Formats: sequence, structure tokens, C-alpha cells
Amino acid sequence: MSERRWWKRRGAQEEDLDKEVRAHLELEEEEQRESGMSSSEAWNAAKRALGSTTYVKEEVREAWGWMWLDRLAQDGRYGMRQLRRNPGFTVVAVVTLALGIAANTTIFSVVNGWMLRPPNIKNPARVVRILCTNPAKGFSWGWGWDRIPVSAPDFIAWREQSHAFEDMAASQGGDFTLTGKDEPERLTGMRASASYFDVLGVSAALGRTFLPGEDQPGHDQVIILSDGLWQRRFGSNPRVVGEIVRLNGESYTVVGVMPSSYRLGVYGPPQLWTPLIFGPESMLPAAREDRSLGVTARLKSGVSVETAKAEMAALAQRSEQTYPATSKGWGATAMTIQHFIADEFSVGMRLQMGVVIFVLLIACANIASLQLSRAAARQREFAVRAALGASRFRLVRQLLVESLLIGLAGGGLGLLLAWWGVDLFRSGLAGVDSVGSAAAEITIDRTVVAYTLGISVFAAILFGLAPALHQTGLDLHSTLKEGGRASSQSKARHRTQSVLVTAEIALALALLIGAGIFVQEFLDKVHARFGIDPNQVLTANISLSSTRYKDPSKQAGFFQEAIQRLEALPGVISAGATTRLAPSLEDEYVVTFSIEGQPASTRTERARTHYFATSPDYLRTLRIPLIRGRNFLPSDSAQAPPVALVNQAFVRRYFPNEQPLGKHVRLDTSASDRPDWSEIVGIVGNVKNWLEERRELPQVYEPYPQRPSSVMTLAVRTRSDPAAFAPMLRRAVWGMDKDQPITAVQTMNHVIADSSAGGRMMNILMGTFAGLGLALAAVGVFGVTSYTVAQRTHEIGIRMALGAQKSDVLRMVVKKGMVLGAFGIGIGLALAVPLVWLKLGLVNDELLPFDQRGPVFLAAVFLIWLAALLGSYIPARRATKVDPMVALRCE
Amino acid sequence: MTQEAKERMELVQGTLDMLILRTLLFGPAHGHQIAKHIQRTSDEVLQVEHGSLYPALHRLERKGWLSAKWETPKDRNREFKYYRLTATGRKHLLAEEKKWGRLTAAISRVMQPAEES
Repeated sequence: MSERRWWKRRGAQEEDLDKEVRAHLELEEEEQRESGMSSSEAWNAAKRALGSTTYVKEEVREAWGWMWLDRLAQDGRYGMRQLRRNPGFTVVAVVTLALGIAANTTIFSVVNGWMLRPPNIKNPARVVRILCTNPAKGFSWGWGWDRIPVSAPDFIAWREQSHAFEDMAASQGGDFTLTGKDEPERLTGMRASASYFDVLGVSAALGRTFLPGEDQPGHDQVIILSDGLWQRRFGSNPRVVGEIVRLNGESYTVVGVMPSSYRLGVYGPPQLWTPLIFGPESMLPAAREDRSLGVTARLKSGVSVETAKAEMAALAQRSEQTYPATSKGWGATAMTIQHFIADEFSVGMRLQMGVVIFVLLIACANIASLQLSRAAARQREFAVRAALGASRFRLVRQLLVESLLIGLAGGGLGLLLAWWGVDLFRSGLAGVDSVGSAAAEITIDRTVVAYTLGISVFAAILFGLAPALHQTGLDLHSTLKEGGRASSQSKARHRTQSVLVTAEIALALALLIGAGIFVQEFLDKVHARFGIDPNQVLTANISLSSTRYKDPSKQAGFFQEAIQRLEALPGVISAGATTRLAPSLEDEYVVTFSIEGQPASTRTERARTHYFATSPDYLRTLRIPLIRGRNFLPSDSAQAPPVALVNQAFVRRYFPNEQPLGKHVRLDTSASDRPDWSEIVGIVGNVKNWLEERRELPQVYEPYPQRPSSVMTLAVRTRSDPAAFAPMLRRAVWGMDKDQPITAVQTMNHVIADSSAGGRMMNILMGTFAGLGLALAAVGVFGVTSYTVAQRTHEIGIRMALGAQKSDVLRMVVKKGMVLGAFGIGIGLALAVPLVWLKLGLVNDELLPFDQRGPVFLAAVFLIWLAALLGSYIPARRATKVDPMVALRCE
Repeated sequence: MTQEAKERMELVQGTLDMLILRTLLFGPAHGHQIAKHIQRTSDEVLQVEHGSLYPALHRLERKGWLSAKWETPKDRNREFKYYRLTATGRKHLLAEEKKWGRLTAAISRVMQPAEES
């Protein structure tokens, strides 16, 4: 029934009733008059006979069956009045809940935007990712042993042999250098099978996608641009299709531009696509072990994902039998592409969801405990209402309606806060290249609002039900008689409250420990796994003007002098320069190279490595370890024979069974092949580009004086705070040439944080939520102790009148908080230990020994203890101020 | 409301409903007439509380045992809400009467066992 019709019918019925009652009164009056009464007497007698018309009407209305709605509205009005009358309680409860809900809504909007929404492709449920599995690989592949990419020979075989798919396509990330009228630019792109876009069912916004056969050698010089690249580099030129661009030194024809809405996954959308071709080398036995292809396939109609999975497992088994040397232990599976994309960060998001639910539970425990405190004050109110005939159901409903009002208010405020939180989250990601463009998809949409409403109501029931049942299960008689002072109910209530606060402390402790270990693990990774020591290092970018420093020897001279000047400054341990800083967000510089003694080949067939030209002290400045051989020396000058350093990954890949020292390599750092070969003089540790990098990249270093560049990054290791050193660095460089722009002056830790901004974001969130949990727990202890003090004012007064010292009272009250704290900590530890194990099992391959986790546990326990102490000390102080006379007079 | 009060209420309600239905067996009547009729036929023993009469009438109407209509009787120039027994109401009354008969018989057997021996 619509509301308007409801009111209309309702009004008619009221009128009807009114008329009926009036008619009755008139008849009654008539009768009385007939028996000889005066008219006014008769009217009064008639009314007496009928009784209270209001009562009659009310009873009739009840018979209509709409009373419950009336009463609900009444409960709502009454609840509002109650909440307005206790603004302190209302504000604390609403704000507490709003914080908990805002945390949940913010995280859920990320989950919703990135994991729940299907990707923008044709019929996404029919598109699957094909993946290799190998339980023996553990987590060493970054995202688990069941998410491993596929090798080229396997892909080719599976595409031919499978029957479950309409088509199967491979793709592989790649680095490209785009040259042309503007500055050369390094771009991350993707090489993909010709059918890749057909499998996904997306078409180009401009031009076309790849044609069949364009992934064959000789036909592959075509490029598709991303919307971003098209706008930025080509000025959104609508006639770009057909244009020739220079890519990695070769000519490519632009055939299409992808729409801006096309994005698959959150990380690093490619900026361009070129066809992926399989040369003869991809059929070599060694290629079977190079598992680096992403394989996407579209299911034939009628084929389920389960069937596809079974087929892939069977195909993998066949490979295993045919090529036991390289495929033993390897299986294959299929999963929908949405599932695959969601899994990219599901571990992190699952953790965050868990954390915010903890925060919400703590908030609920807090509000429940607050309500119990308030119950003491409302005890009489409820006893009176019960005595006047209100049923227990009615009272419970009344309290639940009040809770619901708090829940809705908290939810509304929480949604507003989340709006702001989502904004913050988005702007935090905006600077991160890899996920920046996906940040826009985190929005508060209808699903998020519905979720918020849902958890608000859920929370309201959670924190409302226990106090409501408690408060209404009163023994009327004793409550009214005792005037609301300590009765057995209040003891029971107190017990419940203590349980709630203990639970709250336990949850907060588990949260703190979980968050602490998460952050610790992140820092461990940052410091141990980048392969450098980022502490106390300041970096700065210098690009020399091309007119004044055209001559390479002048470029080398400038940087050599800059390094000398910096090293001469007080407080500097060492200084160095590099063409590219790693780890950092700078584009990677990858070159092709040849090894002396191996057959000559064309450039596109050559192997690739990451490349750096550095000053002698650069590696020492970043503390990149020297494993074998020697470091660069000042004697490795432009005139000296060329030398190079390679990293362990390079050795593992290109000299698996050889001694690399003394071997020669030639790196293609310029357009034409260099005449000179560089001797490998040392092996150094691997350096990561970003934190979650999955593969160990081959890296080669050459001495800067032999390979000068006009763009270098300086790195300075200082004895004290590196950030404070920035002005001195500027002065030193400007002392040489005051027209040189110095950009990106930042500490190495900052650079790393940038390159792992996603992780940093997670840490900030974790820290915020843990802090929130801690604060709420402190408030909880404060609430329950305050309540105790309020209840015991009388007793404290007597004690003090009998000569108890202030310190005795203080100790007595604080002890109460400390006991709760001790229980909470015990339960919290029991809760946290398995939680930590679970978490480690999810994201890490190795368990850190307890002595490394110990400090986190201790710090968390200490913080919680401090919170409990603080929460009980403040009310305890208040207790000592009790004036015995006043307390006793209270009676 | 306590449990006791509710039980008492129900007992009265149950019989009042039956009395109302029984009264309307003779033809349509309005509230005042129903009350008077019950009082008269019970020799003024049963005083119908008006406070419970109207809620009972509305309840019975909701249940579909009665139907109501505003009508003007011939001897007056004023509208009254006349209640009328419906077919289901009649069926319900029969069932109630049977139940009531069994109940009173059982009670009287308990109260006057001597007559039987």
C-alpha cells in the first residue's frame, strides 16, 4: 500500500470511528433524558457509561492492527527525545560508530571498485586466465604457486590441443622506447597475440585491433596506442591511424587507439600494444622454463570453467610426460579473469577488511558498554514504564529503536567520512603510475551505500540487543524500592560491561599486533629486499643543458667534479651518480647485448638486460654488495679499457655454468653497434625496481666516465639526517654552475616509498585503523571505570570518612581497570598468535622467528596497558576528589 | 501488561464476541442496540462495557465475521453504523455455541456431581 493511500484510508477510518462513538453517546444521552435527567446530567452520565472516549478509540485502533506502526513512530519520537536529552552519550556513540563505519565503507568501496565490478570486456564471465601451478614453488613467485604464467611452447601446444575454448591468446609486458619528433620516451607496453583483443571482445575506439597473421614475423610492425598515450603524445590526433612511429629504433604503423574505458586489472595498464611473435628460440628446450606469458582464453558456449580446468589439467599432464626434464611437477588451471584480477590484491584487501571489521566490533563493544552505563540512570524510567503496563517486548523494542537511530546516524556520518576517506585514498594513489588510472574506479556507488546501511543496522542490533535485554529484565519491585541503587541487576550489568570491555581490549590488542607485524614486514621487505640500504641517502636529479654540455667529456667532467665537491663536504660519507636510480619509479632502461664468443645475431634477437652507468662510488653509496671480483675504480676512466659489473641474476641467466669474470659483453647503448667490448670485472647483488617485483632482473653497470650521459641522479650518503642536507647539496652544485636545474631532491627512503606507494598506503591505513582501535579501547576502559566510580561514590565516601587515603582510593579504582586490562591482554594474545600465523601463511613464504616479532608483541601489549591505565586513571582521580560529606548526604 | 491481566481480558473477549454474534443473529443492529440487547436479555446481569464493545466490533469486522454499513433507520433522521452477521460469522457462531455448550456442561458436571449418582 502506498503511503498516501494509507494515510487517506487511515483518515477515513478515524472519521468513521468518531461518528460512531458520537452516535452512541447521543443515544445514551437520549435514554438518560427519557429516565428524567436534565440534559447536562444526561450527557455526563452517557460519557460515564462509555468510559474514556480516548481509551475506547485507542482500543479500537489497536483492533485495526495498525497500532504497531503507530507505536514504532512513537518509539522513534521517544527515542529521538531520549537521545537529545543525553547529548554527551549520543555524540560519543554516533561518532564512535561513524568512525568504525567510515573505515568499513572506505575499504569496501575499494573492494567494490576493484574486485567486485566485472572488467569492461564482452561477457567477462566467459573469459578465463590460463595459469601454471607448481606446489613446490611456494610463494616465491610473488602471488603464489597456482598463479604462475605460461611458457611459450606450452602456450602453443595448448592452443592447438584444447577444445574448451573459442580461442586462446598470449600476452607479455615489455619495455619500449618511442622516438620521434618529441623527446625519446620509455614506455611500458604489452606484446600480445593477434587474437588477444578478440578473445577479450573489445574493439578499438579509433582504427582497429590486430588482424590475424600480424603476429607472424615480418607482419608485426604495427602498434595500438592506449588512450592515455594517444592524448599525451599524439595530442588526441584523430588522424593518427596510419602514422609511422619509431619504436625501439624500428618503424611501426599505428593501426588503432584503444578506448579510455578499456582497462584490465588495476596494475600498470599498458601504454601501447604490439604483436607478440614466437621466434625459433621460443621452441628451444630452455624456453620451456621461461614462464612469462599471460594466457587469456574465451570459453566455447556451453563449456563451464570446471570443464576448462579439467582439460587444462589433462593437457599439463601430457606436457609433464613428454618433457619431464622441464615440466615435472607443473600443472595448469583456468580461472575467470575477474577472479584472477581480484586476486591480484585480494590478500591485502582481505586483511584490510578483517582489520576494519575488528574496528567496527570494538566500536560496537564500546557503545554497548556505554549503553549499560546509561542503563543505571534509566533504571527507574524503565521500572516505572513496566509498572504502568509496558510489556518487556515493548521496552526491548523501544531500546532497539534507540539503537537503530544511533546506528543510522552513525551510518550517515560514517558515509560522509568515507566520502572523504575515499577521496584521500584516491589522491594517495593518484601519484602512483601503476595504479593511478584505476583509482578513479573507487567510488561510493549504490552497492557501497547499501553495504553501509546494512552494516549500520547490523551494528545497531549488535550493540543494542544485549543492553536492551539486560535493561528490561528488571525486578520491578526491588528497583522501585531501592531507588535505583546497587542491586543484583546492576551487578549483572556490571559483569556484562566488564566482559564487553575485556573483549574490546582483546580485539584492540589483536588488531595492534596484526597491524604492527604487517608494517614490520613491509619495512623488512623495504630494507632487506630492495638490495640496497636506503637509510641516510639523499638523491637529486640533474639534467645538463644540451647546449653548454654538448661534449660527452664535459658531461663526465661536470659530474666528476660534483661528486668530488659533495664528498668533500662535512657529514658526507660517500657520493655517487647513476643514469638511473633503482629502486625508483623512473622508467626502466633496458638494452640488448651480446656476449663475446657467441654467434652474432641481429638486435631484435639479442638478450636483454637492465642497464646503469654509474660513478665508482655509486654502488658503495647505496651499499649494493659486491659478491665477487672488484668494484669500479677511479682508474676506470674514459681512456682505460672498458669494464662492466653484472648482478647475480645476470650470471644465473646468461652464465649458468661458467665463470663470468673476465668474459666480455657488448651493450647496445647507442643506435649503432659499439666497436668495444667491456670486460666483466665483478659480480654485485640484485637490486629490485619495486617492492613486489616478481622476477630477478639481469642488471649491468658500466663506469660513468666511459659512458657519459647528460642526465644523472646523484646519491649522497650522509652521517645525519639526509633531508637536512638538501640545501648543502644545492649549494655545492650551484657553486659549479648556478644555471643547472636540480630536481627531485629527496631521500632514498622517500623514493622507495614512492615506488611502493601501494604498500605505503596499506601501512597508513593499517596504522590508522590500529590507532583507532586503541583509542576506542581506551575510551571503553574509561567508560566502565567511570561508571564504577559513579556507582561507588557512596562507598568511597564512607571509606574516606573512615580514614582511607587518597592513594588507597586511587589504587582501588585503577586496579579495576588493570584487572580488565590483564584479562583483555591475555585473551588478545591468544587471539593474535594464530592470527599472525594465518597472515604469514597468506603473504609470506618464510616465518620470522619470534625474537623478531617479539618487539611488536611487547610494544602492542605496552600500548594497550597504557591505554587501560590512562582510561582508569582519569576516573580514579575523580574518585579521590569525592567529598565524604557530600557523598554521604547523597542519600 | 502482566500475564494475568491478559488472560482475564481474553476470557471476557471470547464471550463478548460470542454474545455479539448471537445478538446479530436476529438481524442487523448498531453498537448501542447490541449493548442494550445483551443487557436486557441477560436480565441486566451482563453489563457490556462500552469500552470493550467497540473494539470487539471492529475486531470482528476485521476478521470478516461482521460487515458494517452506515444506514438511516426509518424512525430517525440520523445515520447509524449497522453491523450484520456474515456467512463466516454465522459458521463461527455455531462452532462457538457448540464449544460453549460442551464447556458449560462439563463445568456443571464438575460443580454438581451429586445429581448424577
